[in-house]
Amino acid sequence: MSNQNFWVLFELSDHRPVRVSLELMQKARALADEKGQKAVALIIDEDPAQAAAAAFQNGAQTVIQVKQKAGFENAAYITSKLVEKYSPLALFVGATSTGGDTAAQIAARNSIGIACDCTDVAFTDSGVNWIRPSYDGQLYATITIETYPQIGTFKTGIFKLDEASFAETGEVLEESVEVPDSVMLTNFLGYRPDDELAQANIEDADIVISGGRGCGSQEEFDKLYELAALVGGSVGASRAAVEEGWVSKDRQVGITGKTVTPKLYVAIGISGALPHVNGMKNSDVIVAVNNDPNAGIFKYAHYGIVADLHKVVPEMISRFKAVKGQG
Amino acid sequence: MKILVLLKEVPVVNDIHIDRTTLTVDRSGAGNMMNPADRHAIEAAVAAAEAAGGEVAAMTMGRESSESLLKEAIGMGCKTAVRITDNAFAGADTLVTAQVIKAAADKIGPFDCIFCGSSSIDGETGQIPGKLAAMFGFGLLTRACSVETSAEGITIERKAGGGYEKLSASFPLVCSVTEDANTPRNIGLKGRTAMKRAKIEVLTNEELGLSGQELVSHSKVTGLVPPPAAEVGCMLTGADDIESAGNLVQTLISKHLV
Ligand SMILES: Cc1cc2nc3c(=O)[nH]c(=O)nc-3n(C[C@H](O)[C@H](O)[C@H](O)COP(=O)(O)OP(=O)(O)OC[C@H]3O[C@@H](n4cnc5c(N)ncnc54)[C@H](O)[C@@H]3O)c2cc1C
Ligand SMILES: Nc1ncnc2c1ncn2[C@@H]1O[C@H](COP(=O)(O)O)[C@@H](O)[C@H]1O
Repeated sequence: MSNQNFWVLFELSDHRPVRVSLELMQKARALADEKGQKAVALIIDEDPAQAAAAAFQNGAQTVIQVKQKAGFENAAYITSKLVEKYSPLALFVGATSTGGDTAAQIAARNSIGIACDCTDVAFTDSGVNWIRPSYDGQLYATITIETYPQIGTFKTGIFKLDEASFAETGEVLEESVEVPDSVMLTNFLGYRPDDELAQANIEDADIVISGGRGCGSQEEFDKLYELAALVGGSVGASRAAVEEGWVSKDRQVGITGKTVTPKLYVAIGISGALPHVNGMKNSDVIVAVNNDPNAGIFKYAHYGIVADLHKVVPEMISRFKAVKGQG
Repeated sequence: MKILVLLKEVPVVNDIHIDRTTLTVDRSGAGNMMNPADRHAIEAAVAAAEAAGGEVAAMTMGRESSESLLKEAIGMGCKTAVRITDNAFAGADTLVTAQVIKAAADKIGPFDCIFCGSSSIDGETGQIPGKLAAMFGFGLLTRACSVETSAEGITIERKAGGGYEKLSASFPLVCSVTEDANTPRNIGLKGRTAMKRAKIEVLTNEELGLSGQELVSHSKVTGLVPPPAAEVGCMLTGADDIESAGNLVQTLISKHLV
């Protein structure tokens, strides 16, 4: 096969790489080392210096740098030209709004096979196995693509972001691609921060305390906000709690919600159905509170207690309050 | 203005029987339904036609059972309906699907505006809208949670991290919507009459004339594996629930987890 190397298409926000790009960079490096390939970062931005340094620190051996305006349509156009020129083996893209749109357009422009929202990728002698959940996460499907290059997209948090431990420099290839006017058709008009959405931004939280149907009522669910505030965490939820109307879908954890990998995930009154587990199982430490000793969630929990949450939640609140009072 | 809305029939996953040890999937008892976001795409399309003038065609690539989706679209105010089907399209990946939809849209179009659901719950890939936009050379507005149509184009908002992104494009364009975008209208008396009279045009590859090369799917599902297993952890106990809760708090503090 003439296709070589693992590429990561970087997504930047204010000239800095978004987290998923760095997660993918580390994964690409691990695969590259395993397979005797190179890990390559493709960075398209008018001011790529910071992102290039971050790419090297997170494992890039080569940075292809395109000092041009990004925008998903430009990025897709430029990437498809560079993919033609360099023939990578695989291209990793973050499954963000922008990343998803960019990947779709690259795939369409170059007729490249794509596997979306993957949870893992493995390279075997016969080719690349892209793994993604199917049937609501009850089974995982292996996707194989017969041609190269191949594209895989991954949500934030699928791969752990380890300490950036590589050198800060490496080979930089400067590229420029002329983009016809007909490519940029969509205008980005701006960003409007929103308090409610910001609080529901559980993907970035270090501690997530999630409630499920076991909470039993709006009133009981709402106690989780007090608990979360005491430990500096955010409140998440199972789909059942969202369906009960206790909490907005923006806080739903799971395959049809958000994927979270906090340092601490506390599941309260959540049974541990696979669609939920798939959105939190990579958390560093998982704690479960459930009154059913056979609840599936205990299979994933590092610490668990079999107890009535109506007693546990108020007790935890008062204990943490007491600790805070001392401190 | 000519507007197209794309609909997809998906299985009711709850009805699918899955055996995780034998890795077998039994779809025989599973019913089908309209992909949930697509009903919001119909609403967006019909509302856009009302705002900017014009009419809406509904289109699906699928089996005969998917005609019920098209009828529902007619009931909600779409004027015409097309189903694309051919044995040659079986097992199509997103690239082939987009190519087939493009060929069909070229046949009955041209369209100024194409609405889709943001993603389908069986594939959850959300690839079709972006691919179509690239193939047509149209603007692309995806995952809209609000849609505003003017005579010139569309402005959307979509959720991104702790806020909303605002994007716009002039016609022609592709727009995909989430279930937050609107409330789909009920089908009234007029709609029900239209549904009864609905004529559904069927297009096959005889009309579309895609070559064998264009119909080769690159990606295939080649295996099913059980979900990764997790290690069992440590159960904390106490004389009663209160003490267990206390032990939990103690553990979290002593392990520096909070
Ligand atoms: C297409 C599809 C996609 C899905 N996507 C998601 C998703 O993204 N995220 C998601 O979460 N789910 C998702 N689901 C739903 C999922 O299958 C489960 O139905 C859901 O996660 C269950 O939520 P739950 O655990 O809160 O509720 P339940 O399963 O009802 O569990 C409630 C738990 O609370 C415990 N409990 C009850 N009372 C108490 C008490 N007093 N004290 C302590 N414990 C108590 C019970 O023992 C039980 O374990 C999806 C399903 C489908 C079909
Ligand atoms: N077979 C199909 N026929 C018509 N529209 C489709 C089909 N597949 C996908 N779409 C449209 O594309 C959207 C996104 O689907 P997907 O890319 O499969 O997640 C759907 O909500 C539909 O609007």
